[in-house]
Amino acid sequence: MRLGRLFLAVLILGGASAAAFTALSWHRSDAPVSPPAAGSIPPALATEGARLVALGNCADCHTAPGGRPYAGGVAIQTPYGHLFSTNITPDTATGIGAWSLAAFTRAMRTGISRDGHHLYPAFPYPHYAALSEHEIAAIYAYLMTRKPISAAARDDDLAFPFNIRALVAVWNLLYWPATVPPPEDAGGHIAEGIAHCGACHTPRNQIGAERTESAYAGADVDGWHAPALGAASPAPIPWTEAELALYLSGGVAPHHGVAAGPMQAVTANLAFADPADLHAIAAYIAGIGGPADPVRQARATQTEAILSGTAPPPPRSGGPGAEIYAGACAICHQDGWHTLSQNLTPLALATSLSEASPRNALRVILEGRHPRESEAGPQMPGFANNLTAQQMVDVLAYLRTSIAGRPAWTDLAETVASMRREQEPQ
Amino acid sequence: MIAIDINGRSRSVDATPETPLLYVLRDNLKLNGAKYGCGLGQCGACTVLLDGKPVFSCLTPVGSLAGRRVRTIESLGTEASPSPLQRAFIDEQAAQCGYCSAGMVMRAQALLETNPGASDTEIRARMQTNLCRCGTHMRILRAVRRAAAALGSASASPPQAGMRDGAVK
Amino acid sequence: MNAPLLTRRASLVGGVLLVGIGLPGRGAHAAETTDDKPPGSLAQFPLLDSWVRIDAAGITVFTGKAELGQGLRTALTQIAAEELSVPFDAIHLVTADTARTPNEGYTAGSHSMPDSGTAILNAASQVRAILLAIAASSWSLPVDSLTTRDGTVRAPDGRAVRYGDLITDTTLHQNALVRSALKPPADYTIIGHAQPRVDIPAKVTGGPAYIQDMRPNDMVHARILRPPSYGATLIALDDTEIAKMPGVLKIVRDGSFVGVIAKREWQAVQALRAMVAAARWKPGPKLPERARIYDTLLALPSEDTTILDRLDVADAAVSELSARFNRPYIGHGSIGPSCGLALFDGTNLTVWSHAQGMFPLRAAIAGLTGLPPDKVRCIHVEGSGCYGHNGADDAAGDAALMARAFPGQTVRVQWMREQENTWEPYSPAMVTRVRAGLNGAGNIVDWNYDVWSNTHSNRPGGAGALLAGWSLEKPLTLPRPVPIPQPEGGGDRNAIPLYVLPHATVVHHFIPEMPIRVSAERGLGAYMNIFSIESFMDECAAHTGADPVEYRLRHMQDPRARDVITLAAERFGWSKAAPGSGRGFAFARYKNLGAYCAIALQLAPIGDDGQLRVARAVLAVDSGQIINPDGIRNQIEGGFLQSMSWTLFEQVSWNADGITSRDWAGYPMLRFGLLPDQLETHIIDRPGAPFLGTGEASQGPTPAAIANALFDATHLRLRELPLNPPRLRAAGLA
Ligand code: FES
Ligand code: FES
Repeated sequence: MRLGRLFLAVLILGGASAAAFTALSWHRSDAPVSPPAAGSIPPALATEGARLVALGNCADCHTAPGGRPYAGGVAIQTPYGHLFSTNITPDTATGIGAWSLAAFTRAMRTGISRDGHHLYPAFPYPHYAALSEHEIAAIYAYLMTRKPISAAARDDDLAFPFNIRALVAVWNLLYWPATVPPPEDAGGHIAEGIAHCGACHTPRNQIGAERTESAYAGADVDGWHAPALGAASPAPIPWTEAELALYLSGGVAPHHGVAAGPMQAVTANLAFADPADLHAIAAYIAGIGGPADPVRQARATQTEAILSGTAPPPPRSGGPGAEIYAGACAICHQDGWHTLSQNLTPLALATSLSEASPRNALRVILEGRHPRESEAGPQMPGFANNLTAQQMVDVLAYLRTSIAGRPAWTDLAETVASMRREQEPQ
Repeated sequence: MIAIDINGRSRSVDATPETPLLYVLRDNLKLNGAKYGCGLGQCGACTVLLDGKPVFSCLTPVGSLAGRRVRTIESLGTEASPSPLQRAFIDEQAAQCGYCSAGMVMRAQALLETNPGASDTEIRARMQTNLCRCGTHMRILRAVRRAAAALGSASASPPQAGMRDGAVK
Repeated sequence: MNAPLLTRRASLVGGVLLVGIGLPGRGAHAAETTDDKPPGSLAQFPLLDSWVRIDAAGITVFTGKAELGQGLRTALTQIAAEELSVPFDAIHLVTADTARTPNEGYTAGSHSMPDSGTAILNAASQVRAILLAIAASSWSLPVDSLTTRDGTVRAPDGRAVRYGDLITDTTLHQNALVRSALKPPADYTIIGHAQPRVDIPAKVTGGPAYIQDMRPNDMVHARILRPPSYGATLIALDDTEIAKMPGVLKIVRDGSFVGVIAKREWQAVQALRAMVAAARWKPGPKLPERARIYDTLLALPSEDTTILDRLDVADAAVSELSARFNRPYIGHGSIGPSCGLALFDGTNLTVWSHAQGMFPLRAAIAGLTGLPPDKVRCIHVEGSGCYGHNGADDAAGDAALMARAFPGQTVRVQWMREQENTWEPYSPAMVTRVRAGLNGAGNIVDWNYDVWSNTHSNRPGGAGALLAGWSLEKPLTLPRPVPIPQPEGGGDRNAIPLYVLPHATVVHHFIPEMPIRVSAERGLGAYMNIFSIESFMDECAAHTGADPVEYRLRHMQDPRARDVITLAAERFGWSKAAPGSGRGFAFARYKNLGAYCAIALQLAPIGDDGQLRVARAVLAVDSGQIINPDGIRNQIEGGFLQSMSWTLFEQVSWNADGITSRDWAGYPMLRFGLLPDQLETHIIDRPGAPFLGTGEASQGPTPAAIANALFDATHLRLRELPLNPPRLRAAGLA
């Protein structure tokens, strides 16, 4: 899931001397303790922990689909094999029940497990390193109030040499920790710290570390593209703090679209976060890189004019893409600038249609978007079984040029072909 | 006129290419199986098979079907001679109003054709797309399991005891 | 709602009948006959040939009730076949049709078996007695010596005569006797035995089964333009281009009522979309703030009726408990949106509809179209499950108006999904308040209960109840609603506990003004009242430290109630389940007159996502003499799952400008993922006892059993529905 690509650090480690390597990578095991007694945890501390855990989206990586909360077992795909997330319930044998606060703090800050082994940085400890002692204690307190669930960690399934955890030590030397603003800068502290937004939205270098010089320039995650944030956002209308806060809390932004892919789960968790925290994050993220440049401003003005009916929408092409749109898409999305059946974002404003790559738009068309069974929210069926590869290309071309009014994507056919291979639909 | 292959027959229909298949099936071809439930791809009442895979016919433009094969519930069996899956729905009395039934049958049919020994979890996951307001779900599951058990290999496990009923005299 | 209606049943042999519809005030115990009238609907329609006719073509049985997916055709056929001693397949059943069948009002309120089932049972029995008597006299044999089998009367010497050969057209045109010589239940070979439903094979093989599948040769397709919100009026609609769209035959306009007729269905849909885009509306009044809806309802004027005021000898109360409960608006959620067909030949209007009452619909349509009622015929054709008053009547009204404007061809009106979800009359939001005094032993000695609700029935009883009427140039308005009286009640249905409570006051606060369109939905007020009463019984039990099942039994004398409570507890293994494990119990007798139902269930552990799940549920039911056991199970299970869906997450949503839960994305309902792992139904048979009806019995106990299980697991009492993840999170449960 998050952080799909595994750092390539190991590649450069071939030359590291065995001795130095052993020294670096050896860490003492922290003695097992008994979990804190029920009632010994101050409720206020656990409540604060709940707030941080929601912001950190911990449940998402540590809860397998259909599994018990925080019991781990989520497969994290990497180019080198699978990692499985761990059980962070207070079960003594299989979870973190035997971890002292000190052991937990060490893991949060340095990625060293209680028994001394290195955690892969799919666990975003570089972001957590700057959390205050109090914050970590709160998270610990909250997790210790969860129901202990016995669920043994699954063995990772990584190819040699990536399966040598000790190599992470060298990686850590080079790329840890991230820069996290102090708590006084609430938005930055949360966004860079516990919420680890950059873990998805910042591109990584060849060894899988975030490229701080390109912070929030957008990056590929699990076959999706986490779009650039702030001034570099491809959205037709720049984000405002208010709309971003709304989006984070509900997954729907009236002028940008609907959270899909990995971000859908993030917004589902953030729905329970403190609104003040979300506003702080939103203010920080919306402000990245300063105001939008004149080209984007002009585009925004033009888009608003079409929305209000004072300017005409982009010209429509005919052909197979238009026919598919009319029979498969227009029923909900109408002309792309209005909506009929749901309280949806006009399709023309969807960020995915304005991104450089058709990947996100294609994935939504293939897979659809499905809220949880009990949850009201934008819903779309997947079209993987309906449309042939050529029809996908046709309809995407139409969406891009005739609905969003953007220059044609040049890599459509290849993207469709490669993604259909990845996503053998049911 | 558009030519489409429905239930193994080529039919020529007078419809514009964007017309959703559902309307062509019901209105032009006078087939009852696929139902209008939402027209939005949210309920599954209109489910048919396209090249063996389940699709919402309400969101499938008829012009996109050249060279592809559509199957509706009418292709499975008849009242006099129902298919094994239809038989299982009758045996389990897996309907109340039954408006969702045809869509349920077709989605389950697609599953059993590729995975005759589908597990309970797999059946539930696959049927998630289709709505039933009458609360007939448990019976639908039983019917699909019954058909799976009949179709699956001899070693396939019998239907699970998901429901037990009794009458006390 | 049920003003007596004058109706003429032209096709009845030689007959003109004056009838009053008597629902639902008459009582589900109609089967318990009074001395001067035959039982069930025979009381209103005593002529035997209103119910049973035998001629060369075979045996035809008539019912004024309709198949709604509840298995009515099958159950009534079983009854008729049993008492007539003919094979199940020998019966041809005709359902609600204003030209052919008795006027049995609405198919609602679990009345079909008590009313129509009882009538057919007795009528069939008396017809058989007549046949026997005729044969006996023609053979000069004693009646006792004859038997009936397979549609024949047989003599001991082997002679046999077919029913059809014994009677003439007028033989059965006679009034039923007050009492019938019913078969002893021990002799039943069809009643009480599993009978596969007659309608299922067509439904699973693509046969024509629904009104939506009707396709008369001359049929054209219509769609209606609906306002964006209640009370909005059309300011402008330039339809010149729309009239030229392919296939468009006619655009019908009358004030703000606009419909389009096209040759093909998809053409009608496209024309409707074009109209939606082109229409400009003056908005209606703003809707009240959703977050404050319960306060808004409580602040509206109410008509208060004390429906129970009991003052028996009782101990003094030593402790007092009180609580308030809220429930949201809930939709019917029929999977097939409403549909209506109509044909006007210049004089007569024929309407096909899946509404629940053909006779009241006829009156409403006569009012809407200005035609005399005897020029309007309404025929029931099955639709998808309706669970009450959904958009069916309105769609029939739409079809009638369109057909009148387009004579000579059958016009089919099909509502779009968003029209159904936005315009159907919902089940109303409600508030209840309860206060109880407990004596030293923890028993309830004083009970005070208040229920606030809008009406639970705005069914057609007049044209003003039909949606189309509101938009006409000369608009019709909804008649001022009146409460449904006890003993059945509307918002106060099941507001009176069946428990022994020496001091008890129950007040129904009927709120006539409706900010949101509401009407009847499965169970009416029973869902909320049973939720409140049964949650509160649990609160009292917990306060006393008593076991919830034992506590209920302490307060219950009705032996059949005790039986279902005990059976559900036993089959669940209540005494073995650990308190605190998330087990919950609830009981009710629907309307205090119908079926008894008790539910014991087990919740799955609550995850951090705050989603409640039922792991296992055990239901026990007693609906009197069983007709089709599997039919009862199907209804009870379905009612449970539907009510579970209401309880776990359903709610209509809106903002100031209109309803926002416009489709299944905005109004989620149960799918397969949240099903229980196990669902068991146990039926108690009561041979020879009156039919009590089943359709709504499990609706009420379900929410209480779930809330009680939640309390058992967490010691938190949630009193506002739905019990959805945000509410659980807010309560600190996730
Ligand atoms: S009608 Fe096609 S999914 Fe509902
Ligand atoms: S049986 Fe009525 S909707 Fe499924």
